[in-house]
Amino acid sequence: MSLTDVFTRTPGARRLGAGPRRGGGTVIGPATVISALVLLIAVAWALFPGLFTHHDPNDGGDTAALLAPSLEHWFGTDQTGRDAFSRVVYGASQSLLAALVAVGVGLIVGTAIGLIAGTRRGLVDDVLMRLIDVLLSIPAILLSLSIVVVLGFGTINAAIAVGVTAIAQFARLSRSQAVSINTSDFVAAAYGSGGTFGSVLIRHILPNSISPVLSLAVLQIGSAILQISTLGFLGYGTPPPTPEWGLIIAEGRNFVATAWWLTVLPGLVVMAIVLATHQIGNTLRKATS
Amino acid sequence: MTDLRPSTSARAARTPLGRRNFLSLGLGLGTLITLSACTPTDTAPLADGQPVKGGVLTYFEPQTWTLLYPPSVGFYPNGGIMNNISARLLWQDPETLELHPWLATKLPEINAEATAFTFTLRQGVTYSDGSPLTPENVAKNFDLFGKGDEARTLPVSEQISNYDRAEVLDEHRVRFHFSAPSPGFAQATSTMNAGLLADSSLDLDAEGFGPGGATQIHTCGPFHITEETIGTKLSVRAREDYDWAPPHLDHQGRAHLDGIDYLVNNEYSVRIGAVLSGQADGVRDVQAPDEPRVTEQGLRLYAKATNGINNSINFRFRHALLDDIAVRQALIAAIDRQEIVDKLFTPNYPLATGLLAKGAMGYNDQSGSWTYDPTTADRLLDEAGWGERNGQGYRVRDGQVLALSVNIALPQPRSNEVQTLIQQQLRRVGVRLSINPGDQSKQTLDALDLDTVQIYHSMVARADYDNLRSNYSSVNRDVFLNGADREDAANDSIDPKVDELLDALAAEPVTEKRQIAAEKVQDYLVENAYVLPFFEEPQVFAFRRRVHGFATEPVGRPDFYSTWLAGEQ
Repeated sequence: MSLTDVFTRTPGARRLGAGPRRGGGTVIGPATVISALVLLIAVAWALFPGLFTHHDPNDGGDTAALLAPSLEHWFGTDQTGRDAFSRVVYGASQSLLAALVAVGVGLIVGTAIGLIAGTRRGLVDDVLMRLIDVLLSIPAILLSLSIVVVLGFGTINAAIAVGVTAIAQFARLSRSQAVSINTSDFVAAAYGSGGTFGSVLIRHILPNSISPVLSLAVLQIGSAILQISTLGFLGYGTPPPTPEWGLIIAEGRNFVATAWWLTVLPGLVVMAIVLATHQIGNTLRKATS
Repeated sequence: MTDLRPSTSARAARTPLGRRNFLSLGLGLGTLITLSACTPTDTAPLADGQPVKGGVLTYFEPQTWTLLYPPSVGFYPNGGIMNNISARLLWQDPETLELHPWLATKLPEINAEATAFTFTLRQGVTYSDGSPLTPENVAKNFDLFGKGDEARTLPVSEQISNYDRAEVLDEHRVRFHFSAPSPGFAQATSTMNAGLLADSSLDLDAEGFGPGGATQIHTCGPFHITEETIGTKLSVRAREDYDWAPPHLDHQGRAHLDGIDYLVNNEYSVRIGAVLSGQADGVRDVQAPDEPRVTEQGLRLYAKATNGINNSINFRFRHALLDDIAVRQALIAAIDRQEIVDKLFTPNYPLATGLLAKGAMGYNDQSGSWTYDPTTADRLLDEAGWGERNGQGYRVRDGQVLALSVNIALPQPRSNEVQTLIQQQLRRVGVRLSINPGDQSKQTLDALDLDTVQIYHSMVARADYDNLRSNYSSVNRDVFLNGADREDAANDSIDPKVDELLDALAAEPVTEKRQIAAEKVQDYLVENAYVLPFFEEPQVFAFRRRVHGFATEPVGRPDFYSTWLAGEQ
């Protein structure tokens, strides 16, 4: 089951969701509205972090270390006296950018493979999809760790590593779309009126198969954030002191008993944002199906 | 997993109640956490009664041991084991640092030049494989420790200088000869790095001394290794026939404990939590922020001085960015040592007043040498040609950014956080410091490369003047990478004076002159701004109250020989 099912099925959602309907009766409930707000804030953090906090995320100055949350330091201060909230805010750009890169890699490479396989069929289809099967058989975290070790540590490298693990899902989805569209009359007509493989692929098959792939992409952003945070947590992501969500949580875990706020509060932020992207992705998926 | 969600139909009606429950649960948890933080959870009597025999002590280490070849046991997890399974020729009092007999019946006879040492051995000592301690065996031990064996990749002990050969005089006596004076040798025979091995163990290679082979290592200390689980656990048990404790000690005969289980877990909160909750008896490496928690809950907290080189950073002057003394002086002036100690540590970590800790042999008070003064730092850097700044505010000269890299000294307390603070402080004067990522093996490897690590964070402890040589000499730890055979540094960047002064110290037989030679080395290193010491590094342990009689040897490694557990029969 997915958490979003619970949200959209609550009685409150049904009552409030009686308003605007679109895309075959999908309800835009309060959960979706709240999710959109959460994402909006996260994007704003990434673009204009200075508007949300006046503390330097990389320099604690004279502030004492491990202060509890207060009005001045909403999330307390970390082990070297830096404001934990401003580190989370400034970390948004790293984490969100990395998530976008990761999904971009998966989306572009995966869709290209899937469309070619689904349109060409035959031997090309077999070879490409068996490669994808191989990719799927390797656990995602193991695969991304191996890639990041080869590429070297860093935000973008970690993002690429996570992106590669997402290729398989995009490839399978877009292939299934391409296969069904490929048998349509209008595709046969396009070939009949002199269309080449390339032109039919780009002008007819891609536009008609892309919408479910795009909603998968939105869903993937959430898990990409989590995976990148995992790599950061394990020390394979952004080098310190640049704040990155996984790293922030990892650095705080030695103080779980004495300064719980260093892991719990950033953890809640990551959780909220992942849940929000998931909710938005689900709403989009329902709207397009 | 149990589904705790109420059914859809019941949910609306039960929501207010659920919320209240949730609230009270939160309040309850909060109270619990607050209470557990303030009330002692361990109330067993603290006073030492009569020692009782029995019980196995469980003891947590942050890292697994790597090598039980005695000269290589300086690494804390190795030393914590070797110190308890081995016996040595001499015993050094951890308080007075005086030497006393142990497996030797008396202090060695030393010739005037300190080039020949004669030891008379105790009778009836056996190894854990049953073989006896003989002069031939002792000679074989020191032939290996003093010369190493490249074919087996076993290094020379950094504590033994100028070793030539051993000579068996008769069935009780053995004499060691040196090619040049080696006054530190007597002390070197007392450390765990000279723990004696049975003949069978002396034939092992480096792999044999590593994980997987622990039970083949036969020693003659109060405990012996009985069981090993690679990476997670090592068990040692008391030897019933152990009857050769240092005569200086009150406690004689077998150890009080039945044994020790060394457990490894790399998650700090698990280790400290296990001891606070009573699931384990002790833990090494309690971090400064947890010290109050340990004492508030009534446990025993020990901060044992390691009496060695202070926790310091060493500037590798052979790198092009650090070859200018003005740059090194600027870095020193830009680093606020007091802030590091105040923010990250407790009074158990005294601010360094010299390159050596106050309790170390050869201590030289140099407390006025390092003053925090960012204005001077800025001026020095401007004058050294680093006046320009780039877009990020870092200093640039001829298009090159003043960017340096430092290792993380994982065995040292809070090294990553120390470096994070320094990174902040240096950024304020426009110097970019990056912290080299990676685990222990990557750090060790990267630290050997001048292009990867230019500032080296480390410490080393040994209760002898020769400690300076172990740390700074290019033939030992070589913290500066000052060896002549480096390809990544220009040859004229070498500083031969460092090794010269250290060799003079190691070869000086007269104690008073050794002190002077040691001071000379330290003055030279400080004048040239090669080193910045932070604090005197303790080893901090926490033990349950039922653990009595815990002690450490002179450099802070645990000594469980006289430890006993209350309530065990």
